[in-house]
Amino acid sequence: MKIKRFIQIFLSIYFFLPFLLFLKYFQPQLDFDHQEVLWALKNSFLQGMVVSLFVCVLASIASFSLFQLSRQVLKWTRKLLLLPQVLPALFTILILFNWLQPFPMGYWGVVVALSTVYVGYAIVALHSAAQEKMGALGVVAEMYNIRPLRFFLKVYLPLIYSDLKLIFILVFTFTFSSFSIPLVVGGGRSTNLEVLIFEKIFIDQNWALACTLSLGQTLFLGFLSYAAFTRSYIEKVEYIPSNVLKSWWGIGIIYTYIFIYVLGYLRGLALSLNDFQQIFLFSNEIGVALMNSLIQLVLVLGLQLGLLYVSLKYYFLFSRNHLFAHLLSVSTVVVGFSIYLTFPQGAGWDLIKIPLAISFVFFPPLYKTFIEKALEQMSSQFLVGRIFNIGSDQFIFRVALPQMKKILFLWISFLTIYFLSDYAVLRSLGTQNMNLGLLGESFLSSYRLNLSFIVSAIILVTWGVLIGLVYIGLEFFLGED
Amino acid sequence: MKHFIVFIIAIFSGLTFFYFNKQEKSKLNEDQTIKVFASSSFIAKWGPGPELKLAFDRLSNFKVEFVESPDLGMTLQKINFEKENSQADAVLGLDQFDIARTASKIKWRNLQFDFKASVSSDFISQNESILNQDQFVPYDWAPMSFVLRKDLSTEVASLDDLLKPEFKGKLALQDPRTSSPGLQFLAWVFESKSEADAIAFLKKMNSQAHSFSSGWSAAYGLFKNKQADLVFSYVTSPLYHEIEEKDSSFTAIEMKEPLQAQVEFAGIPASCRNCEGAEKFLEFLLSKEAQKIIMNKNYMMPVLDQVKESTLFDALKKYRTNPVKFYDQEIVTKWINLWTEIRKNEN
Repeated sequence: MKIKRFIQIFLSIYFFLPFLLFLKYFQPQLDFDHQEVLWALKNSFLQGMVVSLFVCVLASIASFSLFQLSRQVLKWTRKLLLLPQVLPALFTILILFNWLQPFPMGYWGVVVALSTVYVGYAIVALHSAAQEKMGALGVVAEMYNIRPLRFFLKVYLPLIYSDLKLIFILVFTFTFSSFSIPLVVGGGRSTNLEVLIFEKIFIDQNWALACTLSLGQTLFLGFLSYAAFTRSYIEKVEYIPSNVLKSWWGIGIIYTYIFIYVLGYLRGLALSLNDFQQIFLFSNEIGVALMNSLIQLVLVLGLQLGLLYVSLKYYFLFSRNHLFAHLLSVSTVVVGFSIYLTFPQGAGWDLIKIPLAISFVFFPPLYKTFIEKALEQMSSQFLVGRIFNIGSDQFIFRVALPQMKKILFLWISFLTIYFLSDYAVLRSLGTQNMNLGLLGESFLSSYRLNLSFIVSAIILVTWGVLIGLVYIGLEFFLGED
Repeated sequence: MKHFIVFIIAIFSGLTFFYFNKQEKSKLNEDQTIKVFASSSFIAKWGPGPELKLAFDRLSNFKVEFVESPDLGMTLQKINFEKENSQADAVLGLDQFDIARTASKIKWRNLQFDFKASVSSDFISQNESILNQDQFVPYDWAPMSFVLRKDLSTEVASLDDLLKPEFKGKLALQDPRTSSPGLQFLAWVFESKSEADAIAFLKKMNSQAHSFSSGWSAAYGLFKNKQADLVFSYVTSPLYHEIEEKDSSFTAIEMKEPLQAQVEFAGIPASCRNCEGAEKFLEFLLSKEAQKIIMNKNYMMPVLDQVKESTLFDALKKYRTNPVKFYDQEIVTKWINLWTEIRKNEN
């Protein structure tokens, strides 16, 4: 009983710690210009709605067509689709500007650019979800001679409805609080809530108001997520390939998207190779940054695995997910600033600050995306475990985790690449150790765009190697069961 | 899995212990250490920080320890919160706007040495406001203008030339709400024109701007990628390409209107622990050796003229500049509000 209470309190305090720290330093400021905030809120809201709608429509069509790809092609296609998620926003902007001339600056510019960033991720996530539910439905449809379009509208869309809702909320959350892209391509509508928060800091030095707005934004998005999710999960079933799952439209969307993005990125990378000799000049810094990234990653993963363990225990004991799963977009300003103010600055402290901040920012959304669904799918097994009084540790390590191997792999892959390429969270902490993400950003802000491109390639290669190791590690630790 | 988690926890605890132990030892030398807060680009290998540290440590009994600032606003707020407990002995990278913003929030130490005697008289005479304060040492500066490729066929000689139809959607600018150069551009327009003319000009500039980036680096990236023909930057930017990339195809334009100059200052918070060391370091920043390092690594003009001699910086055109001002916060806020309104009603 004590453990049960302890875990509940621990998770509540842990994930709300940045807000508690914030309240230690600032009195929330509520006397602000309401008109200004409403205008920004309206822009954020419109931006989020249109982008997530656009992304969901494209992703539903495209994810359907992924079923017709062979296993090997699918594997690579999925990896390439995720590329826009992990590269700095400026790269996406440059790639789009290279292809679309003149680029539709303004409202549609924001929609195009943000959709480019998120549509690949949405396609992959929807396809994964659909694959778990499809089973033999395609084969049955084939027997009844149902045409692909009818199958798509009558079977596929209702099947993925709850996942589509999740993707919609996630993309809405991410785009609602996006910053760089709306500023560059957004025109007058670029004043969204995130820009307003930054303005309060940069121009007025009004941290109390900036943090209050950040807090409000996080809670609003959290509430939205809480209100929107009443999902029911279907048990995972084995997918049986079928000819009805074909859409050349979808294939067209996917490969146009990959072609535009990957070719644009490779073009930038090829041009950057003109400065390749400079890499030797900075080889020492790159080596140190790589080492720091790896050390920090071990700690980040360690803490996240610890949190995952506690969250699984919570699920076992309470038969539900903790409220933290709704903290989809914890403000970087709140997390960065509260940790920056609380901890001293020093290279050693980075090893505490970085894992903490990364866990506040990335653990809840990644838990929501990957873990929550897997747990719901196993909910009946959890129930049986409790009925037969199996110890929570035994159940987690012997029953739950071995079944979550694929999910854990995806979860760690995303966490790894998000961490390796992150600079916003780390910069806001006042990190003293340069890692790969920070190095890329530093090159970018000192005339060295080409070197930044090269560092992004190093990040991708490092990620590739690491997820290979993770795969082997998971096979080793969880494979036998 | 269980073993893996135990393994990770063991590493985590080990590293934590190792670093805290290391920190305890380093405390022994704290008396001689000056903690200088500076930006990442200043501290990076390609910035002036490492060479400055080497030179200063060689010349004095003190040791400089650079602490990376995530963002100047955050650093100043941290100093403000920590008051007497603040670790900062000196802060680098303050510009005119930062100084005006923080004047009322942080107590700065009046400098004991006469920095005005060290700074070149030309620089001081053009910037009298710097004479009227004793707390911030200017250590580099650069006029700001539009940088372009020399092969651009359209001539630009004044702010109004930027409104030529050829430049529609071709100017890479920065958002003044989030970027210092963006704020400098806004100040430049309001300094050069009457308020009504400035507003009319900014309205027309909306269609000329390719984009308003969140920071200088994004705007410069767009320009380098040939998305924009002109970018608002430092007149010293072309020197970077000439020296580092051996590419002399860039130039910064002289305008009919005097340019705004961005000056970088260093200051010592009143809560400094090693105030004597910090003073020595700031004094050192005005030495020929330090000025040369800053000029070569930061690509900014030195505040001592003789440092430029027989370098490419000396060959740089002499741009007419407006005197440096520490703007009142109300004026800056008013400009920003006007700009925001114009952007809001863009369409």
